[in-house]
Amino acid sequence: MREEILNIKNEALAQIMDAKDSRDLDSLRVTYLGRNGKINSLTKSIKNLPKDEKVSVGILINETKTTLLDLIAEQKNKIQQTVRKWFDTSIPAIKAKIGHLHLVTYAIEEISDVFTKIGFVKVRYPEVEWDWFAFGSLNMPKDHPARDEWETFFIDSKPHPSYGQMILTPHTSSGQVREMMRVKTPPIRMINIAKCYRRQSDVSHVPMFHQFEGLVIDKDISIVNLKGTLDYFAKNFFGRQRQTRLRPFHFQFTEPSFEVDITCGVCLGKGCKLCKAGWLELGGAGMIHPTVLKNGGVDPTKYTGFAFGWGVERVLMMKSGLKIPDLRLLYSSDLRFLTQF
Amino acid sequence: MNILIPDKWLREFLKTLASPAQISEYLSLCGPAVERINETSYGPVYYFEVTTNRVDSVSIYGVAREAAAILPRFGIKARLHSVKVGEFKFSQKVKYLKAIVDKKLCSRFTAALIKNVIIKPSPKQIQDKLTAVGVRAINNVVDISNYVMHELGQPVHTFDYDKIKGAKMILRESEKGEKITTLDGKTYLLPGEDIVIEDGQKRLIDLAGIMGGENSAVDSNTKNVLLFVQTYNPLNIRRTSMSLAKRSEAAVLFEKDLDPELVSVGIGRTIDLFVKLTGGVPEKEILDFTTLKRLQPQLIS
Repeated sequence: MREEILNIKNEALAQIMDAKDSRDLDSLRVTYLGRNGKINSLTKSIKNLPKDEKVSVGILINETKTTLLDLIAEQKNKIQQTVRKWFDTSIPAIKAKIGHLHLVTYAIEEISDVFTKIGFVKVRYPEVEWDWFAFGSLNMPKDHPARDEWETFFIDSKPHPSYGQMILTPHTSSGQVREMMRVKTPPIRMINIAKCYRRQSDVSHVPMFHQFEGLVIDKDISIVNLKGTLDYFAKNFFGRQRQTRLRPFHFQFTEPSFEVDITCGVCLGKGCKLCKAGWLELGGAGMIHPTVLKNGGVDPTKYTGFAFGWGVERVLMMKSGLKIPDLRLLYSSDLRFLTQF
Repeated sequence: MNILIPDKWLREFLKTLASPAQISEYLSLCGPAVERINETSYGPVYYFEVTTNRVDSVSIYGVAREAAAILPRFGIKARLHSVKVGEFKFSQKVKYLKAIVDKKLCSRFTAALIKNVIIKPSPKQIQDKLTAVGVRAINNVVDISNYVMHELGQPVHTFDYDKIKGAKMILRESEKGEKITTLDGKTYLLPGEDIVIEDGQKRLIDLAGIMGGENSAVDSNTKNVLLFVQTYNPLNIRRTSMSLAKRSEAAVLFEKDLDPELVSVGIGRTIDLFVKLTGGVPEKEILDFTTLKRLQPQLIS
């Protein structure tokens, strides 16, 4: 059997080397490698061999197959090169594929643009954070039940002597006290856009996502300023006719706290199938809690401020009207999805 | 915190002509937010999201109280019907139980003995209501605890009175390494500083505020039931519940610091339901310790 294979192989090699044009090569390919070719008929006879030979013969046949295929391809190229006498250098080349930015990156750029126009400074704070900045300084001491709202990743590492455990920041609000410490004396107008991490993964949640956090601290800042800023963002990002409203809510680090709704883009607040009652939920906001100001070294008797923190993915979905069945698709690196944008 | 509130049950406490759609819209604008309304065989059921600082509204009565305050602001008449409970005598000393309570751990402690209880399935009406709030009906004793917890937001525990050795209880802080088997059959090695109850034979019979002990649980042969309604130090409850990863409904409520005043309504309502559903006979006096000081109103301007 082995001998037979080697004979066929040598015979084929010789014939391929002698072939004159690609038609010859094609017919050789059929003779040896075709469905009823010589190699295939060898493969069919494997089943008659004794067990211990089956494997080694199989390997040999496969090796022969690839050798022949490679050689045929090589010969074909050689023949084509000798045939080609004249080459038109003016034919446009095949363009190299260049990618484009991710749709979330576009959204981040667009959001930054809207806010930098009214004097917000774009910053970024650590993704790997200390407990103190993500929770403690935000009025959520250890053992506070409000922490349940943030499914946090903890890092198995030595805790900081005063800032506590190392975590992956679950929200951009961890930048609030950091920004106060950086600027020291208000006015502060910060927009912090960063990656956040939470222990959740389902059709509407990804474990890594983006938030953007606005923070304004100055003398005489009130809810009026907050509402004005939100309206400005809604009109410039979503469109002129859109309006926002505030509903009471609760966060430990703002008082009072709100949830912000925006009128539905389809019915403009009248109520339709898409939005139920005319409003869609955007995210959270509120007036900064005096304790948080104190923790950032800002005197709460002199200064007041507001903050808001929303998901980039969420506003992106709302703006584009994208109906992605599974949010995780955004970060799956699937080109069939990404090249659509 | 998310809770299910059946419209029919809500209206036992809320007199109003507001439609479910109006209740949903106006409450969402001012207080607890309605995520959606489910149509069930028990009528419409609201799915409410209540923020963690408002543990007082995590119940049917709590939402009714919010609604009675909110709806009139939108020009809709609404009145709150208070929870009606029988007359009871609260006393610091009772014959049926000797209790030593660490006041740091427990701001309000009440207990009541109900004798000759007959354990059987609850009436269909009670079962339907429990199903509507997402609770499986088991038997009248278990159902009453769940019923009161969902109606008032006050967890209630029941002991088999005859399993409490020496009719004695010591409510204290646990020591690290003490062992308890809870009524779901799981055994825990306690991390320390947990609130536990020990009986007259020094057995741990309750992981207070989180789950009862297996050795004192009500079973199908139980005759006499000791009702147990309290408020605990929220920090201890939170720590134990988190470190044992035991997030019972009771623990989630207790860790948010319940109102000690709710305890009297809670135990009263439970006793009334026991009389009605189990045929049990309550002892005249309710054991009651409290560190609560009622503040007198002060005129400030």
